[in-house]
Amino acid sequence: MMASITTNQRDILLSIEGTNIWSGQGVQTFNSQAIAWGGLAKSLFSVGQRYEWLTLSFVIGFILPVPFWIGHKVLGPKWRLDYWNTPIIANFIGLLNVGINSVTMAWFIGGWFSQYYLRRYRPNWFIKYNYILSAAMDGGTQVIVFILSFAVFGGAGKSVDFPPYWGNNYQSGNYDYCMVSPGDD
Amino acid sequence: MGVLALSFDWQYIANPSPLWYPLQTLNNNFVGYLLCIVVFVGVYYGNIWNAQKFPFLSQILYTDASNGTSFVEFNQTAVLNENLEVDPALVAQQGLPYFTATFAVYIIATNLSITSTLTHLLLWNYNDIKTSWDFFRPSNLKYVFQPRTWTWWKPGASSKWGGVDDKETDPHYRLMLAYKDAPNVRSVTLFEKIFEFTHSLFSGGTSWFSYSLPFWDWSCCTRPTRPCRGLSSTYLSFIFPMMLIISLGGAFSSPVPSQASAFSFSALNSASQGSITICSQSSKCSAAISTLENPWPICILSSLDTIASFKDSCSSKT
Repeated sequence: MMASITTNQRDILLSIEGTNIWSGQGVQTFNSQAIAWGGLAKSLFSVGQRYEWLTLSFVIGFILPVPFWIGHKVLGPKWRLDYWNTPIIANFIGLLNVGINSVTMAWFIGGWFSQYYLRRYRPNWFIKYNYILSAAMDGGTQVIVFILSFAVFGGAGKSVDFPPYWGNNYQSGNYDYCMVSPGDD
Repeated sequence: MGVLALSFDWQYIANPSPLWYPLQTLNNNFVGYLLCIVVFVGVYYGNIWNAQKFPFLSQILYTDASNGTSFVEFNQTAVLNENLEVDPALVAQQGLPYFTATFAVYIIATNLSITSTLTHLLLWNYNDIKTSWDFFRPSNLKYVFQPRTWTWWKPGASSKWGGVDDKETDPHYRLMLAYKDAPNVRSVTLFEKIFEFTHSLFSGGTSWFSYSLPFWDWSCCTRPTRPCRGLSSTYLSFIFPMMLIISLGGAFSSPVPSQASAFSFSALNSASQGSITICSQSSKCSAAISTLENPWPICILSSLDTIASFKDSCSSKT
């Protein structure tokens, strides 16, 4: 399976941008990190070198939550400083680097709808069905993605184009109308 | 960057599914997301780390020869000698590679979150995690060293944790105690098999892996998968230091990129399996399906939150 994908989609997987279906980002990340941290760590990441802050951020991370905690102890609970979770915030600062970004807003809207509206105003429905629904949709998506990847998107060799309609910017650039990276053609 | 974008593709939205993230986690995520936009735009237009020479978003290494419109990828095979080790002379010839600035920010952000998770847990969740080192208390060590506690395999031998009398542990875990535990033999055998299999990969003669890890490195990075019964807090105290070591593990070994790659590869796999175990313990079936590609600190922290929220929903129901 892996071999068939890497043979058929080789150019896309090696490219900088990938497509909306295939992309080699995960492996590219592994590879770049391996070369940089494993091979060139001293000359790239030691203090005084080009990417020193990548290492120093480990140290900064240790003290990141401390101001919030001290502030909460000093100023009292009405400032709600205990609400902010610095590890989560810090992790999401890097969010947009990897993956498909056009879904981020939809992700938040879906989450807010479920966790704010349903949980507060439809608690019975929430308790009964929210997690079941989530699991069911995930499961269904996994199945259909698996089938589509091989039958339609070219995992097994021949890919079938989605028919043109008003929303997909048919064959004239990225589906989401984003700019094509200038060095990537 | 996803602002005002509309998408209905659940395959990409549910990665992981937003439906089981508590509101607090979502709001924190959103603040991080806004900061992300600001920082990414900032480093690019501030031209930090020569950002404008390279693509805006990319995970590949580039060389100095790139400019804004044509990107030259770093030729990584040119700096390796025939043993797949980095040769300083060849590096001097090729020049040092560049990350794209956003990728550097991504690494910084990940590193920040790794260590701040440790501090955060110590400051805010000390009561939740302290049971995981209760084991080392003098009174408990005394208890463990009494021979009558060694007969744990006999029926009726009581454990201090997770027993029926344990009122501290996660309610779902206590409910699961109604079922008979799978025999330890099963997990030990599984561990043994995996251990043998992977070890043969790493030490077997001519494969690519044989260049990779010294044995102790490998056994250290796969440790989180060890069969470990019971409290999720035990996992927590286990995984966090491991993640730090994982990230630095590559750097302190000799200059062999494949080593670092193999290290983080096997370590990340086992760590994410560990966090799946936590989540499936705590937040019903949905978590196990949707955490597969989850960045681990969020996953673990949100599972902490989920535990709390489930406690709420359980108590409001009864």
